[in-house]
Amino acid sequence: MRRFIPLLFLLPLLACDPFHTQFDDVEGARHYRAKSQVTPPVTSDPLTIVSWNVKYGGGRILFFWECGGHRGNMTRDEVIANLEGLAGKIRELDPDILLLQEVDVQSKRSAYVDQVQWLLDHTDLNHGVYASAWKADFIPSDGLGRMDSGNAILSRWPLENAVRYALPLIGDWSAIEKYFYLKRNIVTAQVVHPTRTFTVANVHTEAFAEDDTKLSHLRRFAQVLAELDAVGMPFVAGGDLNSIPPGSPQVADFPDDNCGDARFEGDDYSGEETWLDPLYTQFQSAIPLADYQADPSAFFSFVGSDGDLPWNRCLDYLFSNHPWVTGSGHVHQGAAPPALDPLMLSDHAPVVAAWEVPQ
Amino acid sequence: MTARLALLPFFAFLLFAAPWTPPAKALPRPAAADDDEDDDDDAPSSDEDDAGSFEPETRRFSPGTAYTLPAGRFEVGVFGPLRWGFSDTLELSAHPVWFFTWPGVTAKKQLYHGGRLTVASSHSLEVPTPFLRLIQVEGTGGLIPTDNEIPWFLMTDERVLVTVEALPGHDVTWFLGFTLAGHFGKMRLDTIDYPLAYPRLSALHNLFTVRTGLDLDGRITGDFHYMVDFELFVLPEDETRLAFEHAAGLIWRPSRNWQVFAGYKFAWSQLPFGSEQVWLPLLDVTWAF
Repeated sequence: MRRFIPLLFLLPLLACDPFHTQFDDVEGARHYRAKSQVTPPVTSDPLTIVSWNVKYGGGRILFFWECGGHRGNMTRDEVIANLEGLAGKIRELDPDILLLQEVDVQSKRSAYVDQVQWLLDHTDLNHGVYASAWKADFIPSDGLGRMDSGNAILSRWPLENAVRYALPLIGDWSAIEKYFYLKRNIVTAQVVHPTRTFTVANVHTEAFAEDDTKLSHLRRFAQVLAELDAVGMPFVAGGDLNSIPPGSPQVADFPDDNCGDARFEGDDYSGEETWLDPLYTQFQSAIPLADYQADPSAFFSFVGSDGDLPWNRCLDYLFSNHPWVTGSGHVHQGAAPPALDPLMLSDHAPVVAAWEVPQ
Repeated sequence: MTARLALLPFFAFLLFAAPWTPPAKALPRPAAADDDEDDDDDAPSSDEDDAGSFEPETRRFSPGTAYTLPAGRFEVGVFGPLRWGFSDTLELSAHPVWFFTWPGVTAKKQLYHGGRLTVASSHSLEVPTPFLRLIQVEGTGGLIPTDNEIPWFLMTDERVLVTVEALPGHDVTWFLGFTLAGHFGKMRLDTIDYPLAYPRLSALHNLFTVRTGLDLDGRITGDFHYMVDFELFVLPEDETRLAFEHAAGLIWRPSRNWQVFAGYKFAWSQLPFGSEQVWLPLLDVTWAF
């Protein structure tokens, strides 16, 4: 009898969604609005598009899952200090459209600061949409507790028809891991621009899979973009693809992975060299592949560690079905004082490019 | 890894619900209805008796009331504590499993019994530190981050319980009390932001918590009984001041030596991000000897 009683308690847990971690395959995204609206400039200048993985406002704190890291949850003061750095850099880059990955809206690890709302309220961006990539009322692991983290699109102009597309889960995870852990997604929204409505798509693909889950995410991303293109919808799209471009000089054994205490195995992109080909061939990259291959290190956008190592691989991208302003695409890797050094604001650098709204 | 993960929901349940589950409430029976039992520990019944000298059958399976177990009687549940009638007016209890990870003992002293009224006080002394350190692990089951510093805590729970036999076989118990906690050594402890856990651990962060509640217990018919309780936590915090819990269930007691409880628990709590509620199934089997 004693043995069976615990099983009775498992039944309701398996039969429903007690910690609210689940999503539909396609569903709406959450809308945000800045507390005070900043009137967008009336100009025909190209738009500045930025994609940035902001590491949930963790800056260069080394967390327990990183090489040499031990920190768990941040204090509110730490989060606000890091957000002030991020907002300062965003104001400096002055984007019209901002794609964010790993942004927390109600997570214990980031002191429950709604970072989407906070960034809207501290930049010149007015509207936002958000789609959770990791959500649970309570995660009984590593002291994580409540979690709501995901992808967001911020815009000067109103956003409509926001959609969250669920991406496949890692195939070899256990049922409980699938229940509690990441639910990656693509979030799209239509920007109501004064001259023409266009779509923005934002994605953060799998980083930890040892099977072909990341490949399926990349294919799904390309499929969503192809569907937009097929109906004649202009788009800008991007995000953290957790993949390196073809022709990258190094595919494994990165120095920031060179430790024995990280939670995850070091990144190894061997065998993945062609996974981005469909995106590069079907669409226009803000950073042309030839430019990257001519000088890869100029476009590196990621490094782990506490900021004592230089950027060492390119994981972040911008694509469109219309031309980017030639030569505008770059990775904002560094800045001379008094500007903020992006190396200390996140483990990713912002990718920036200029794009003209098609007429 | 997989096996550890599979145990997770059960572990979580044990953590949040079991130690505080009201598995088997008072099952007062009119003495006349208890003619199938031969109680060695029976004492003469009298409304005018002093504390501890009324029907022992009323005092069986009565953890949520002001009643204490008859002298010499033991009761233990799968999830509930081991209770021992040390004397007719003093009951001691501890959890046989949890004691080794959350050491604690409770003494319930019956202060007054007269007519339909019984008054008792309850005093607990607990050391939650070993348990908190047990759940401070990497990975699954880690409810507290490993970078926290958990000192030695000493926690006491003091309450007054007043039970009134509202109708024959139906008792109403009201209690009022507080939890007080102190620690020795440096402390950096994150809160566990989930109903059930948050209000119970609040005193570790805020010195004290005030608790009050109401229990309704009685017989439905034959061997079937009911239990309904409500509990309010008042926390000394600005944004997370209140928590409320409610449980109800059906009890089947085929003999005086064991019973089965099945019911549910509802918990609502103000938490640092807002408020949250949770429903849990409850099930327990209690033996007596």
